[in-house]
Amino acid sequence: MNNGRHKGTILVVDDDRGAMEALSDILEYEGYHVQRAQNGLQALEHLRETRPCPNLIVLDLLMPVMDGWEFRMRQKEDPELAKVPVLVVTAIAATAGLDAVGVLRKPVDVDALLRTVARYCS
Amino acid sequence: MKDQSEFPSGGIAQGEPGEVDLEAELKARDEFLSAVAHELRNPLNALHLTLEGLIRTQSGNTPLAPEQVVSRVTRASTQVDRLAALIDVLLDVSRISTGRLQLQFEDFDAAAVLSAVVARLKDQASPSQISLSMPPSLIIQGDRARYTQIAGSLLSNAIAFGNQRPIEVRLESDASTIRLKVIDHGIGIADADQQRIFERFQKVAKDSPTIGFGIGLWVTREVVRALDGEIHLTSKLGEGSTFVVELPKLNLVATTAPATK
Repeated sequence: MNNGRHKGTILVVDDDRGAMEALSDILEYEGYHVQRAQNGLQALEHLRETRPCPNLIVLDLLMPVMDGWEFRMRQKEDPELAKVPVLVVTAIAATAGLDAVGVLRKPVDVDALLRTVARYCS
Repeated sequence: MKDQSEFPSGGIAQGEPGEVDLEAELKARDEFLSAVAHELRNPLNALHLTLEGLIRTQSGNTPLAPEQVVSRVTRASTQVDRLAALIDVLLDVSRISTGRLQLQFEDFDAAAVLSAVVARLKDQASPSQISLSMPPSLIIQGDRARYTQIAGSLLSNAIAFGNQRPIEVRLESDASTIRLKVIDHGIGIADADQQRIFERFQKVAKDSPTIGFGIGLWVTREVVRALDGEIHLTSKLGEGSTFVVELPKLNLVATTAPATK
């Protein structure tokens, strides 16, 4: 954390604890503030309760409780939350209809991820 | 005491030879291979990100302290363990399908093994989500690795489909049998799916259609059978599931059928 002097805020939504920790470490090292949710439902609750909204959501798709597709559907139903761009990070190929600003396959190309993050946090 | 045996299992076909739906079997196998690729990518991704993070920090202006490096490398090592465990499951599918599941019998403390499994998987659950009830010690004779596998499979399943609600793990015993109960209060399983969930390549959780190989419970059931045990499921959709595994306390080699392949 940089006491408000961070470059921007990223909400990482992933049920895989190892990936979540490692991605958070990289983003924090690069100067971003990281918020975390383990599934789509936690992410929605977090977004509804927290202001300001994050600059970008990094979203996994296959998660228990609420997956990434349902999260996107619910997010788009709320006009304010719908404005937050989403970068999908997934192990699967079927990502049509998600209307994301980008899709990265696992294992994630970190340079590509940081380029997208920088674009939405500038 | 340590010994070794092989257990002949049911093979590939379900039911009478004429009843096998080859098209469905092939489709299920394709979905299985897709699920395998997905499941392997997750620990691979976590491992990749952990190492990428280390490279970036250690080659930058503010490298991590040695103890922080050790912590990150330990996390990377955990992901390697996950990958190895997934590969073991794949090998088990092959071993079971060809009737060559190997067992190694020894005396061990089932309570200590269960405690270690819960401690290992607690990281994947919400804080305080898992409660464990068992005697301080329970020495049995069986296959320690397979017992660990059974407990780990049922607990992982409960965490994945438990809706982050409390999970109870109980270990009980009488004169001849130990009983492992894993109780979750998650999404539950519909009556019509309760037998199907133990079949190969089957995933019935509509909420997470491709999480898991769809073979975990089939492998678990086959391993339990190999150990002369039984597995039972009671569940209600939306209310949760209880898996009960009963295993003999004394798993003598002589009680296991010889390999007939």
